[in-house]
Amino acid sequence: VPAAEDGEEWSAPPGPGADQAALGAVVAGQVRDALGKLPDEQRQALTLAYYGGYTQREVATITGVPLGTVKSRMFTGVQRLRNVLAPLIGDFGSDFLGGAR
Amino acid sequence: MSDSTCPRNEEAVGWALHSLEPDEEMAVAMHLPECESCRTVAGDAGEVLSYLGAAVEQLDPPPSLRDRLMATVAETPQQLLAPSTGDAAPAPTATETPEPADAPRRDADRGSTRPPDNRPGRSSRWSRRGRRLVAAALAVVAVLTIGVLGVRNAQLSAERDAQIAQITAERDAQIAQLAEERDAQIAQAQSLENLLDEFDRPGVQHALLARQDGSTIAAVVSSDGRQQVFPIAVPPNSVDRDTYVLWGIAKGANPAPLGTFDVTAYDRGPLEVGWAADTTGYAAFAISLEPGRTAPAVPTAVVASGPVAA
Repeated sequence: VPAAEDGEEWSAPPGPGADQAALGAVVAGQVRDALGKLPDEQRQALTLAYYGGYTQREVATITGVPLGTVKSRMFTGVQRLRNVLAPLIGDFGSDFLGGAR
Repeated sequence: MSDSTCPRNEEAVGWALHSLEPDEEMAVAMHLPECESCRTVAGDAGEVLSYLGAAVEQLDPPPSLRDRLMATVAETPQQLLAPSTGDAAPAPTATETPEPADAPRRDADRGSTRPPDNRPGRSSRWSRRGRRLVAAALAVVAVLTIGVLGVRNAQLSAERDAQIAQITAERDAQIAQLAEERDAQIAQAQSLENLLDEFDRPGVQHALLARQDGSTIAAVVSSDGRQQVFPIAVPPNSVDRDTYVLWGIAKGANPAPLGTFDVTAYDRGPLEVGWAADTTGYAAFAISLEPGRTAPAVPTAVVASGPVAA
């Protein structure tokens, strides 16, 4: 929870240059689109785990579905995302992500 | 995507998501170095997930935001999940006696106090404006959190790659060492088998050579004017620094050097040593470890010795 973190956690790392920012906006849009195309239950499982930081077991409890179902939803969701984003990753994935890794 | 699949591919994705329980996490971490399929799946998933972090705009919040957020949080009545946990919200009239959960109408009697389940009721202290403020604050927190998560995810990925590399290296070293020990044991067993075969032949003399502590570590078998050394448990020597020497000891005479030999971890004999010498006169044999590559006139460090069996 951010409220409990150090003050320095609050300042985002130095932003990328203008070109990269524009590129980032394009990427962000495409990723959001890709997320939007996922079946609801897969998007829910992935966002709870990735953005929410919940474990698969917690996601199972929150959503009221068996743990095995959560695991396969996350697996299938990631595969679908990868398929949809394949052109993006192939084109300039390494350039764009280079600074963050 | 990987061509072959592993039953644990789903776990690998969960691992890349950092969403496994600690025991599962450990199991997958141990599994990854030995499963190319799962490594590929986890790597691909990590790549995709990096985009989820990159998809969110990174904001630089004004320094005063934290103070304002914390102030808003402090002023906001907290919504509790269970009625039995007490009332932490600043609602003095409700703190003295916890209400039983099955008294839904009591709130009407008590005027503007909140209903017993502690949820914001019709007469809640939450103003509409307050709720909107909190909602806006939470939205900002969510955006910030997501940005931080994206960076943190990338950092964790790097740490994880380093951990995998280290685990893999340690495991490879262990496997190599185990293979070496196993080969040495096989060589030793083979050596003993050859030795027992030799003993069965007619006209063969042998001597078992023991260290000072009494443990037999080698045998000498002689027949037809030649002798073989079986270095069953003799430690390997450094071929470039020293050599083993076989000595024959006749009654009432000084030990005579019969020949040199080397012992390696993988070769447990038999070694032909000094087979040109006439060995029939010796009552005992000994082996010593000598510096250099040639036998001295007298042994310096006797490793093991033993009499010829009658």
